[in-house]
Amino acid sequence: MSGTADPALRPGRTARRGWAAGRLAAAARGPLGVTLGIVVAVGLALTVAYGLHDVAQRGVNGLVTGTYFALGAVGLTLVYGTLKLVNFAHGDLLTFGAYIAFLVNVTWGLPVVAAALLAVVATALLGVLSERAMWRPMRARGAGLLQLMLMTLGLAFVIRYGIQLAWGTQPRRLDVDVTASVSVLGLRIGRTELIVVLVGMATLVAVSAMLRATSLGRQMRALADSMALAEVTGIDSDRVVVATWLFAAGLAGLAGVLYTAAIGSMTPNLGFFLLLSLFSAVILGGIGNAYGALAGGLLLGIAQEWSTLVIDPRWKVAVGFAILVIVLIMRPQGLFGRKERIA
Amino acid sequence: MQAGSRTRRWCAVAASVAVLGFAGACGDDDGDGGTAATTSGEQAAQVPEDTSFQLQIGNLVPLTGDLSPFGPPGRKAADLAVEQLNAAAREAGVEARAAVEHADTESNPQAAVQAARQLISGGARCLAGPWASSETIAVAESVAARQETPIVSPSSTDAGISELDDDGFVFRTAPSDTLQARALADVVERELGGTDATLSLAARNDAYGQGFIERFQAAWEEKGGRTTGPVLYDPEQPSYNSEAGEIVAGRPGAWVIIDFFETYGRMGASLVRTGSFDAGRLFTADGLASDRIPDTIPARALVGARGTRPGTPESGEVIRAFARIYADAGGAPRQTFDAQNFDATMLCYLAALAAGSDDGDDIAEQMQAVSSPPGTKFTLLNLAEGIDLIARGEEVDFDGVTGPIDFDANGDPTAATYEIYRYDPQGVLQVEGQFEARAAE
Repeated sequence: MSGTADPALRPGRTARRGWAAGRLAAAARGPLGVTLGIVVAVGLALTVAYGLHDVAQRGVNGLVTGTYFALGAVGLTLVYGTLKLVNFAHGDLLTFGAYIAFLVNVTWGLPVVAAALLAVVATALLGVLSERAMWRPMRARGAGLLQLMLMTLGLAFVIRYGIQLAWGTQPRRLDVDVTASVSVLGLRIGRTELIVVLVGMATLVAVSAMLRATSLGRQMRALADSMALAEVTGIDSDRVVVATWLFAAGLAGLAGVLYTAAIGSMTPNLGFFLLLSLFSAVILGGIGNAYGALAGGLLLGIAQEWSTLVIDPRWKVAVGFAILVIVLIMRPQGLFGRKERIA
Repeated sequence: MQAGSRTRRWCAVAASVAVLGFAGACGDDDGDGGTAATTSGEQAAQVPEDTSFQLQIGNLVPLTGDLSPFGPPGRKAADLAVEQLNAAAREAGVEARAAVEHADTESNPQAAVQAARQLISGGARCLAGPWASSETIAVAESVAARQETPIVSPSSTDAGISELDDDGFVFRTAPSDTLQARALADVVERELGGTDATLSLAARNDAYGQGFIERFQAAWEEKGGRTTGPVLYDPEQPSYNSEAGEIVAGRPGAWVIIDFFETYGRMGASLVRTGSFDAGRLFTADGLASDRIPDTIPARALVGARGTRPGTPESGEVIRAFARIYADAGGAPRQTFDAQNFDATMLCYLAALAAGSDDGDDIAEQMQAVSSPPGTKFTLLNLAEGIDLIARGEEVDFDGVTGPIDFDANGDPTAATYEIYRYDPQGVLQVEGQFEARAAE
């Protein structure tokens, strides 16, 4: 089993190294360098105290949890960056994606990959629908941040209880084996977890590249800076906003499916329980920054799992949030946020 | 303004609760309802003042959430109890009747509190339920004592409930975990043929999990056994790989894990993924007992596992009669704690009848008296006779389907039957034996 898994790991690793190198070259030497330095230093200290194997194994566990956080957080940060909308319904978009996958995979009996694709499409459409039915009219009327935020909260409840109405509250699962695991260099990772990490990382890198390199990505970033100015320069803001929702909600749907596939079960509260961690990944990385969400998610995941070496695992959530507080005290804009974004 | 309207609301609630001698409470602030705290084991029975009331019993059941497998059987048991009570009352020529209303607690303390308030404002004067210990603690503190409505939980086994500051409004027909933890330690010792093995302990981090595992640890160490852990884990986490790694570390001889199904689906998957977990050496308790392993639990995480759960005496006419009534009614199949909820519902009515009142305060005062000696014993089999005795003011001692009950001053049963179960390779629960445990005096 380890023979097949080893080559599969390599592309992911190279991609990460390339990303890190590119980032460093792009002169973000400050925050990224310091963060990496601290993570490596903490890792080394833990290795001296608890041995390489334990630290590496928990690091792998943290990578898995971190990928869940990062995948969910990117859509959240995208919507905030482009539309300045704090979307409390984002967690429930994840849940929606997971239940659509359940419908396709278990009720209709189609393979999980088809279920994931349909879930992404359905959730993306739900995102666009919410834009057309709620956010665009509200923006046209000049609604304030608070009104919009409360509306997202309302939408979150509508989606969650709609799911409860349709599927009930008992736990459901996708037709996926969650118990098989592969072992690489003595480190164990669930087979589904490995697939989720690889697919998740590839998606996140692709999205980041899209934002950076394509015309659409540039337009999205232009909108993020100033919607009025972007429109003056001839950007069709409506088209870009719809594209943003397609990406953000589609990613939420994907995150929901991958998350449930890896953990093995879902309830209507799934996204709601995750939402706080998603927000902290976003804030940790710097609001509105896709790389930041990725880094924030991974940092949160690894910090939580490493902390279990030192203290009782039941406090691991508190450790994640303590790190959030400390980082924000030192860098209120988040790790990769730009200062001017903080009002 | 706001304070005024709130006061009015409280007055409305109090007025609807107060049937006897409590009407003046809205005027004075020091609310002398605290007198309910006097437990009344010694109180001599008297002829009830009023036997023509209709008692509204509220049934707090977990129809959804973690404990949803227990919900429908619990609801059915309460319905059956009311049917039996009304038939027996008619036979005895007693006018007092019972009616039951159900509310879903969603296996969640906040929802349980809301459901309890909703039942009480709907007229319920005595509540059967709630089920999870965390729900019972929440309802005890924010509803039962404050609105003077007794609650009788069929399944909250958390040892801490005995010590709740509940003014004597909290009862349970399920035995305390102190009893079950000791019973499980006995079972583990017997099954492993001694206490040489080191046990790795783990539990969900809540009142039930932590309370149980700590009492188990104490019981096992008292026998001279060694343990590692307990690893306590937050029930809302996405995965438990690091926790699972700790639980299997050091090649323990066996595991004792206390959890509910929803969380164990994830914890179990993480345990199996470690590659060093063997469910054949897992011991657990009532939280993971169900007719068969639900499909959200990876089979390898639970097949072969052994555990204890509160049972009902296997032999005896009472349990046979209950099983017959239950089967004849159709619907939900038997489930752990169904009979406990049947008894809880019965006790609500019997205590109200003895009090001659459907006031919560009076019902709570009679609970211990009707459930424990001294008095003429009666059971489900001669329910009409018992009801007649109570109506004539005789002292009685009701023995439930689940056992003698015999509430102590904390509202806990002092004796209980436990079953030893094991999941067979098909994932079906098999009962391998049963025994009775009594609380140490």
